[in-house]
Amino acid sequence: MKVFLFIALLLISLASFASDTTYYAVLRNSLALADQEYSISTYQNLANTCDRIIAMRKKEWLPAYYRAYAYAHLGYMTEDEEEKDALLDKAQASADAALILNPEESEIQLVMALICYGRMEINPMFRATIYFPKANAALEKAKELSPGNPRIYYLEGQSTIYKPAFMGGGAEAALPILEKALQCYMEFVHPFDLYPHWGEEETLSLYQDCKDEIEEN
Amino acid sequence: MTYKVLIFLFFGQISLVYSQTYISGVVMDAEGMAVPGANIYFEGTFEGTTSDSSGVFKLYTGLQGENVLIISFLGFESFRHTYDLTAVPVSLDITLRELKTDLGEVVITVGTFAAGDESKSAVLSTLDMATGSGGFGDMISAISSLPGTSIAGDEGGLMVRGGEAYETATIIDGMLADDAFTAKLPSVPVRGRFSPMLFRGTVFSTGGYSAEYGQALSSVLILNSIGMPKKDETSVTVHSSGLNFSHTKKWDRAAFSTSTGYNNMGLLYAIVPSNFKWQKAPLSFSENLVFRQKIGENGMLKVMGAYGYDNSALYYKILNTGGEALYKMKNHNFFGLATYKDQIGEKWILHSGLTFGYDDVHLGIQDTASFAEHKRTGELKLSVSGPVSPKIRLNLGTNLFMKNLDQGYSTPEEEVPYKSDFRSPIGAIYAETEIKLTRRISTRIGARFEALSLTDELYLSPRLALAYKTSPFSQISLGYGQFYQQAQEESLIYNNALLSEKAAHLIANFQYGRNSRIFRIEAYYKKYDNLVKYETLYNIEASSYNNEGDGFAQGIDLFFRDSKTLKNGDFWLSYSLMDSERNYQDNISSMTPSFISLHTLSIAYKHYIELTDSYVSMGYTYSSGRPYVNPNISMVSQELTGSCHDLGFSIFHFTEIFGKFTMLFAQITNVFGTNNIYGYRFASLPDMSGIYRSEPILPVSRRFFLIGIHFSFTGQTEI
Repeated sequence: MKVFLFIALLLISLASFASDTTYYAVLRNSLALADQEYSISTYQNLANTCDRIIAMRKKEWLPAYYRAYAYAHLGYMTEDEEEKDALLDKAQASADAALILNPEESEIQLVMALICYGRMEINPMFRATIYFPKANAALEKAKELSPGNPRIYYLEGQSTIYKPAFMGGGAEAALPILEKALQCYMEFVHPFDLYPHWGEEETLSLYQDCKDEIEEN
Repeated sequence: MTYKVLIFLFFGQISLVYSQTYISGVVMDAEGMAVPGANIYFEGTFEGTTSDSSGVFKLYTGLQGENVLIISFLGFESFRHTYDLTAVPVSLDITLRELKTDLGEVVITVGTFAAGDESKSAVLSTLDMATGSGGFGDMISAISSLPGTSIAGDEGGLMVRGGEAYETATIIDGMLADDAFTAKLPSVPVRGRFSPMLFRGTVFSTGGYSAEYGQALSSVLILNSIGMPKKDETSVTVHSSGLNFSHTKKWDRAAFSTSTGYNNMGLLYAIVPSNFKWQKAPLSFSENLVFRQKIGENGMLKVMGAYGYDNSALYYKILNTGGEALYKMKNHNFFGLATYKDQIGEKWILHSGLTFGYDDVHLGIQDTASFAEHKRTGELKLSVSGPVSPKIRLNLGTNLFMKNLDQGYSTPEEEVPYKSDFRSPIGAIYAETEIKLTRRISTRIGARFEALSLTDELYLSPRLALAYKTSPFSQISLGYGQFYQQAQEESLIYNNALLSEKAAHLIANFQYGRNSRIFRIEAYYKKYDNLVKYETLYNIEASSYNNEGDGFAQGIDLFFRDSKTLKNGDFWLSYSLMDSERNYQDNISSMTPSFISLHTLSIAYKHYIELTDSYVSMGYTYSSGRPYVNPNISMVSQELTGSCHDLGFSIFHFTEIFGKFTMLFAQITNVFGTNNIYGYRFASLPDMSGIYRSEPILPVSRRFFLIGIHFSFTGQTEI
């Protein structure tokens, strides 16, 4: 009888645990598709999946995060400026929602930085002065929350490359940051399998580009 | 038992697989075009699919019985339908209706140019404000390249749509800055006192502005100071006319900034001859202190103090005698401002402010006569704004503005100096509401009630605006308003009973903005009443001043800006057609004011050169001839001066020195050295041969140039 009770309790606890992660399978699928192919259709699919999950799991930060992430990339992929802004508005709304659900999560800060870079790209002359400091502030906040998160240094390295030399940018300045990013990618332990994992390949190729550029000069 | 359970589970699984339903279909819009990316799913499930590039979707589901199928996509009304999954059609053709709310926000833009803030309707960027072609650091030069402004020539300041410079009020963080421009010497244009680097958001209204602002007949320039700085910063700027040092220290919830400036035009006039005969070239010193403190969750206290000192001396031609007189001017000015902003409840915002202003002008004429003016101003303001419902916003407020003015004039002939003064408190309350009537139409209805105790006046000024969104990228707007402004100090001081001057604006506007291109056209009609008239200014007889003047101004303003077509390039064009007549001041009859050009055109092109990290800009300004009265011909008809041309260049080069952010800059105006004449001054009396002597009104120097360096000790500068 005791054994039976134990099993019953175990089953109940498993079931309740499972109820928080039942959406993982669906999310994992959509995410795998998006990782395989960088296109409007795969990212729209990811955003749609997140929409469905959010409709049923309003307390979970992860689908809100991935929705922000998907719309930020959809913003990058779209040509028309007004559409870009509308997509980034959606991304921002989701990032804000995710932040309320989990204020301590560094990844949410990083997606906010992504959104800022997208806004900036639309009209750098007007917007760089507004969004560049905002993106930097988000990266700083992420560093406070999780100094070992490799994506912080990936984004920081990337923005350093494109920053003019007089502002402390360029390949040479970016190289140590990207090295740090690669180091962190090796050491960083993902808390669970669906935790954000992007950027490693991109960091590696940025790192190579930087090295090549420095050697050329 | 376990056995049985397993069997049950096994069959259960089989039956689930067996009962999967397959649904496919096409999603289209009303015009039969495929809708890719639509989200297709059954309500209450995680599973779903996304339509492909031809709008086609396939969905497998294990659901049974009646379920709600949802198809949704950004910008479309969601499709919902209940299907019995045992009898569901295999293929669905679904048409989504376009959502009508996707027009974007209707923003009232009539008469308004926004700059530098995050608003998508911004016309000027912060960089534009800092790099205006007419002189580094004077934001007025950037603003005066917008349509509707007149080239201010010998006056300086912002002259908007046929209005004098005094008709534009400068508002800093919601509070009136009464002396935003330097004190005036005859023929020398005034300059803005505040550096554009102090501000982040700027709104320039050329008419029809909100009921929150009063005491301005033509225009308001609304400046919002920088909120919490991002980090510590120390920088120094050295240029051919002076130097500036600034430092910002930031703590967790507070920040302190100081900025000290010294300017001396002596060097410039030694190289480029001035059109004026200076005894002492203009010298100025300024000190700005700003302290900011966060209070509670959303509260912010800002305290700012700005002190300025100016000193210059000029030989001014006295046309009646043919001689000259030495004018020596000294000016001390202080403007202190404290504002507190906080949130009440979820969405309402409380704004309160307190200012103190002090302006002392001392003018010595020929070391014998002297004129002194002491002015004290102060304002108290309280306002609340927020939504009453999602579609209605309310803005309510009250303010009390005090102005005390004392003037003294002494000459060797008079034993007792002549003195005059006035004390004028102005109280006001205002209420304004913005209502989104439909998804296309938004209105703003407001009224301002003002009481002036000096002259026992009570005024109610209605303000109305209406915007109609014609497409997601374009809208038309209408604006109407009545505006009152107390008679100018220079006449009110001699006649304390002068009534307020009045203007009414009627404005129609069309704006189209898409993909970093903005086009706008605005037509306006302005009517002036109760304008102050006098025989000659500085006549101490109260009876020689009256309110019998009137006038009108009408015109069309065009603005086009394209920051897209050329990569890293930015082009803009602004054109004003202006027609105005006034019977005011010492005019004998109704005539066109001397600062009005029928056509004013300004073209600018800016380019960022990535290779060298340089920002170059070129600006050309044209204005057609200005009217003047030549008493040698006729006292009642007007002649026209020649047209004015000015082609200017500037370059900002960004680099690093000792690893610190450094900016090198050079600016030059009137490259071709055109002899621009703004008008003519005539003697008030004819000479022996019966001719009224005259002199052209010229810019301070034919050409202006500036070279300098900005060095940041702390690395990056946020421009």
